[in-house]
Amino acid sequence: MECDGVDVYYGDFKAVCDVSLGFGYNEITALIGPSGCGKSTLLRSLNRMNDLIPEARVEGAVTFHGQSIYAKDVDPIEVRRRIGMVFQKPNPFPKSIYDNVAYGPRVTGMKAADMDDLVEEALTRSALWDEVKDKLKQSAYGLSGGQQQRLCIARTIAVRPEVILMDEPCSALDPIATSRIEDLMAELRDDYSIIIVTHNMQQAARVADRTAFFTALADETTGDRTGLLVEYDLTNKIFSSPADERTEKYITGRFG
Amino acid sequence: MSTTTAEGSSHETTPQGIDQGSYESDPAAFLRQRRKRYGERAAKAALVGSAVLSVLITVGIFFALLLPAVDFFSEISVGDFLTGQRWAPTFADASFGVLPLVTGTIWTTFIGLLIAIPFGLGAAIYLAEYAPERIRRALKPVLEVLAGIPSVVYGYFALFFVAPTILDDLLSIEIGTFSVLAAGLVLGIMIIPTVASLSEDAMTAVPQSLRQASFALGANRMRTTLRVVFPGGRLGHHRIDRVGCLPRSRRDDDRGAGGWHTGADGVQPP
Repeated sequence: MECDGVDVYYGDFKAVCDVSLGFGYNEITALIGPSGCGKSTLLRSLNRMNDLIPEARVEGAVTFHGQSIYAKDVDPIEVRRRIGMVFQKPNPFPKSIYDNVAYGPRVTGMKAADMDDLVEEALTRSALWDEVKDKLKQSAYGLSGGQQQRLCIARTIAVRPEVILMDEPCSALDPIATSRIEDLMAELRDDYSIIIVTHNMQQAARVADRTAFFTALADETTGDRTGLLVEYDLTNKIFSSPADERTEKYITGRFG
Repeated sequence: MSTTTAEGSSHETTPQGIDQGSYESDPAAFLRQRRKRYGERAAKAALVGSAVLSVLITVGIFFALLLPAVDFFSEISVGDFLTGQRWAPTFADASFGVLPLVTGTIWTTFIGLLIAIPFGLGAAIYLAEYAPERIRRALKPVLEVLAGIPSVVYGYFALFFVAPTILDDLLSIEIGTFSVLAAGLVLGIMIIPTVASLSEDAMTAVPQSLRQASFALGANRMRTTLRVVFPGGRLGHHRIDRVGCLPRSRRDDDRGAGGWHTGADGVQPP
């Protein structure tokens, strides 16, 4: 999956400017940077979630398996099925735990030989099965925040995507729930490519193979802040010997 | 808290005009002087008064209906009232069978809902899920104005246009002046805006995050609407059944539609 010269606009406002980077298979890529630098906006343009915002517009190329996902004959629904997303706040459906996981396979018309097995597998992979196996028919709203977020991950992997986008998946969770999600990400890496936006630099350092650092440039006349990619490299490199001074300032806490 | 710190801070924070002396000399005693706050009491009394008034009116209506009803049933037996098949209270040969009114109400409501639910929900789904924001903002007030048209207007519409012109002349369906079909049709049309408006409110109240979750799983708009937004708004739909359809339709029946089909010549159209 690659971005080449991607700009994202909201109306006339340019939120992300000229981002080019490639995401590796079976890797975890972290997008870090201060607030308002367009990380989430970029993430949402990777599976066309920005389509749901009427004024949003993407220029440049976002390619997946070499195919531009914004090409006219590409079905955005199929794109989102292959590139799943986990959101900042856990957002399970007001349904039972079972139905939450089964939702994706059902609506995408997946031919599951046995839905029960599929649900169990997804919940097992998201390290939730042991906690919920006796209450699958209960409402997902009875779960804790961390469990809800793992349920959202289970729901996402139940449709067997190739890429999982995570938009600050732990920012609403306590440290223990956060570390469980991080462990989970490390396990999921074997089968999925994960792109995670995080405000937490330690989190990026802990989980990510590669890290992209973004910053925001304010327009001198309008004050609009446009995000741009400063540096993209192996996480080790970014955190030990960043090439750009702004990256170094940010990760050492002197900026942002 | 020691006395010294309380004094120290009160110098800076207490606004002028309050008797600082008594506070500083004995803060605990000062705090115990609970003020009466008459304005607050007056406001509360006025609000309680408003609430009680509406209850009193309801009770009044109940008794205003109960007392004549007792008189009524002392002349006509309950059995005749409930099972009688002819409603002609103003005839010389008066008859008070309520059955035609009951079946009339049920029929008109049934026909009305048959029309209002599909069209009302359809309009609501379009407005809440499909329509661009601009169109939604233009159409929603129109819908609400339509919902406010007095039912008398619809009654005339049914009586003088739908029944004779559309059903009789155009479709050649033979019906009487007080057709249950015409009443039901118009009742349905009448409550479409109410059903649509309330359903739209309920659907719009479903959090955007649930729609996003559904889209991110590869669901299309219709699936999202039917499986996430619709169940999510169910509480609201329930409210529609209570607030939207039934009272409005029943009210309209009371005003005349219910009598139309019964051959109850004595009942005046609205």
